[in-house]
Amino acid sequence: MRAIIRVSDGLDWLLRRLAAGCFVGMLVFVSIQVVARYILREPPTWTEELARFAMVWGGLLGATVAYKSQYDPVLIRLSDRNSAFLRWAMRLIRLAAPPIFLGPVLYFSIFGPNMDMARGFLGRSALRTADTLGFPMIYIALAVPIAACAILIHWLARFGEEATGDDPSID
Amino acid sequence: EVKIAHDSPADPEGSGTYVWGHAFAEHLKANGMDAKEYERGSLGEEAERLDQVSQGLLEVSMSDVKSAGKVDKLIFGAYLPYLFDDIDHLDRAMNDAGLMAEINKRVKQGGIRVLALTALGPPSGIFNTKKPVETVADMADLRMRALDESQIALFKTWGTTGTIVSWAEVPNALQTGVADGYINPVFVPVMFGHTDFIKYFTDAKLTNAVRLAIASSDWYDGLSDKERGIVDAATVAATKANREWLAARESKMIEEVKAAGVAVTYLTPEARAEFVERSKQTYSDGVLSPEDAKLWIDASASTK
Amino acid sequence: MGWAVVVSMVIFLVSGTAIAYVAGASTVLAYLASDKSRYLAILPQRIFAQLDVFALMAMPLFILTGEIMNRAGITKALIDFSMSVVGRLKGGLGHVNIMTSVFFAGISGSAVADAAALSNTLVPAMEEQGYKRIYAAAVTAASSVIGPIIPPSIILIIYGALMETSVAALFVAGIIPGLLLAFVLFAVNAFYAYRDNHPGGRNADLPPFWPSFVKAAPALALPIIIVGGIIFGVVTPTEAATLSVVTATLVGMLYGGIDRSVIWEALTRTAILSGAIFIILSAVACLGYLAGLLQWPQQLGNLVAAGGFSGLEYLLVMNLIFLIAGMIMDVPVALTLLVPILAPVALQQGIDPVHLGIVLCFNLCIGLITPPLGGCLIVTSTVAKVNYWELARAVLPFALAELVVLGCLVLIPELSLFLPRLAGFVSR
Ligand code: NA
Ligand code: NA
Repeated sequence: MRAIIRVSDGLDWLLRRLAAGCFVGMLVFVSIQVVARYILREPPTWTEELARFAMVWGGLLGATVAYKSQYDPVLIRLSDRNSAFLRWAMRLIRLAAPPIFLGPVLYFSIFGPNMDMARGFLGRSALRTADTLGFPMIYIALAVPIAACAILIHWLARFGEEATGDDPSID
Repeated sequence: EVKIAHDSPADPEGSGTYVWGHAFAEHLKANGMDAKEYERGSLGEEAERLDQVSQGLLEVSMSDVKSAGKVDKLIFGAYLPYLFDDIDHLDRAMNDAGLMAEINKRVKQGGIRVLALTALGPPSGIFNTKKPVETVADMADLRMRALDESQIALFKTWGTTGTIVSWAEVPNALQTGVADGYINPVFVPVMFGHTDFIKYFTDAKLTNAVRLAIASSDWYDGLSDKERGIVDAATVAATKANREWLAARESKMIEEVKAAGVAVTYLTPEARAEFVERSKQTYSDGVLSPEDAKLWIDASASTK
Repeated sequence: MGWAVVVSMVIFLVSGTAIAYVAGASTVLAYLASDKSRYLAILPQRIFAQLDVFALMAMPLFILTGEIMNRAGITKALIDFSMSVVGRLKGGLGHVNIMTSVFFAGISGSAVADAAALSNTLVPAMEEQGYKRIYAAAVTAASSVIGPIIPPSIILIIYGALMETSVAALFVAGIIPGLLLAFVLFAVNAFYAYRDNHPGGRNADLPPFWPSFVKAAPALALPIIIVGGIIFGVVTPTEAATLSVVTATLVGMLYGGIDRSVIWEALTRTAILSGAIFIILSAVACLGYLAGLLQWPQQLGNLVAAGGFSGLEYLLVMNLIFLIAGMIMDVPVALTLLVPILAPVALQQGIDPVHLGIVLCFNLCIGLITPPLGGCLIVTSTVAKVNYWELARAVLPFALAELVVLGCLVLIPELSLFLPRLAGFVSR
């Protein structure tokens, strides 16, 4: 369990920096687009697409950081006055949600029909070319399974903490 | 059940691709196959529909040319400026000169099959917010919204510049002057509500205005011989309905854009010749490889 | 089948699951329950397509602008200056908040993105001046509705395109309803200012005008550059968001408030806030696909058609549907799916398309700030770090006032049609 928690912490350290970097990239690409419009006779065509891709990566990596720092908004918070059994049941339900959502996302990113990897989301995007950049879409599409995978690793670590800790915080 | 995803409102008067999809569905139903039409947007935008088709989750989608172009660029040749006299010429090149077969051979790896080109309206021309464009020289001080590299290259040979603006921001860009115009089929400003700021149209007849009907190759290949016969016949019937719609609508579309307050300019033969000549310089430096461009040029020549 | 979604949603919600995972997990269960599990294969592409949108960029960029402004002392300079101007009014900063929405919001096309941007600047500033955080968040969420009504408005452009209605006419038509809405919000804010003794008023300790003006001058350049950049056609609205980050950083340097740790904190907080919102958008998009596959909007349309409503009745039923749609979908999506189904009948019954457009857009936007589920409420509570239900309760008086305005707009078409008629856009 300790190992998972360490992996999760290290991963978060890395992804935080990558996410911040993506947003800087997005800023730079849009700036190039604006500047190029007024000074270049042949403005680069890839600025819009690259900026969008930086946002997709940044936003999805940001989602992993949000999960790790428990920043995802919650509509209903339980009071501590509930019975121990109720709190235990609620904790289980809460822990069930992320894998139910992200499990299929991860699975179908990798596998297509008949568990054929070439026809999964990643396999399909490897065959498609980005509109202006000319490289395969898989470099961008990877953001989806990587974010899902990272959140599931953080989830395992939280599962470990909540299972071993005696009174987990509700947040 | 055959799901058919539309890309335009259910308007048999105004939308040629709706006519195609609807006629296709009706033909399948009349011959005992189960078909269901889905409204625009209900199964997602272009990239998503392409993805569903390639997985066999969606059987038929009315899609943009880029959908097939993302798997293989050959299809983009349909947009080479001034390569085809009219849509019949393009149809002959696709079907008689074997381009359709070659395209389908190449896009099969992406799980899709191009059923047909669907006509949208008269050939595309030049729209702008500033002034009537009568000659290539008039383009010089217009900053044009460009879709891709080939349009940037085209604007360069016309002696003007392009700028990249995402389609969602085009209305704003045209209103404020970030961009002064764009290339599009005649009906686009009316359909997208741009006629409040687009004031001039030049009927430059650059390229045929077409989109695609694509099908899942899994689904198509998995059909029984009888079913495939019905689907092929439905394709023929739908394409016929679409071309008849075009013949009936073509002239009216220019009238509609006039009625919306857009001044229409027609090119003199000399002015047109200059557009043609300059545009042809882009055949080799657009999105197509020189070999692929040659396939199209040859096909055009052999079916003139 | 619909019940399976609702029940699992309620169970997940009550257990304290985060909204994104409530929506995501319930959606997956709904695919299973409706025997559409084969279509779960679309999830990764659906998420990708939902996020791969140029205009969405305005959200992280304006959040980043807010982060930099707050940390570099720009917000404080702007607020001091505003207080020196409007501080004589009780609740002055609340009025400033509403005014800002009139000028600024609605440019990104997503009321949710605008709410995120404004929450991040105005809420901390109001709190610093002595407002309760929850009240500041409520004013921000409530006034984020004005933006898309007053031009420029991407939402009205989408409606115009769908209904082949003049966008210029819609823009002109939005002016009176938008201003009316602003005045009603001013009134609600003034009421609370007196009842709860908000800062400002005759005896308040106001910052002197000239010194605060001089201090704020560089910061005042910021909105001028952004708005000017859009109006004079230098940048598109989304690009303006980039311009705002760059300008805020430069102005911050002038104030000496920018160093490496400020930039790092601003960037990571932007990543977290955007990420938290992106994952919600993703989960909701997955549910939206199922709705499309099962043809829910069409079934709704048939249901309404079967009801045989006419005239005003039909308009009221439509309002109800759009109000609910605004709760669960982003405005452009709701418009694209529902307008083609519902609007033609309304037009047959003699309702003017311009009037209808204003009413529907207004309506969808109110849906964003009404419980149980409102996009702007979720975003504002996330960014401002306040409890969702407390915020929903604090917004309620504003939302009720907005419903009254909506009622007026429905019953008095002239409110929407007077100006367009004056400008010659509407003949009847
Ligand atoms: Na606005
Ligand atoms: Na709501």
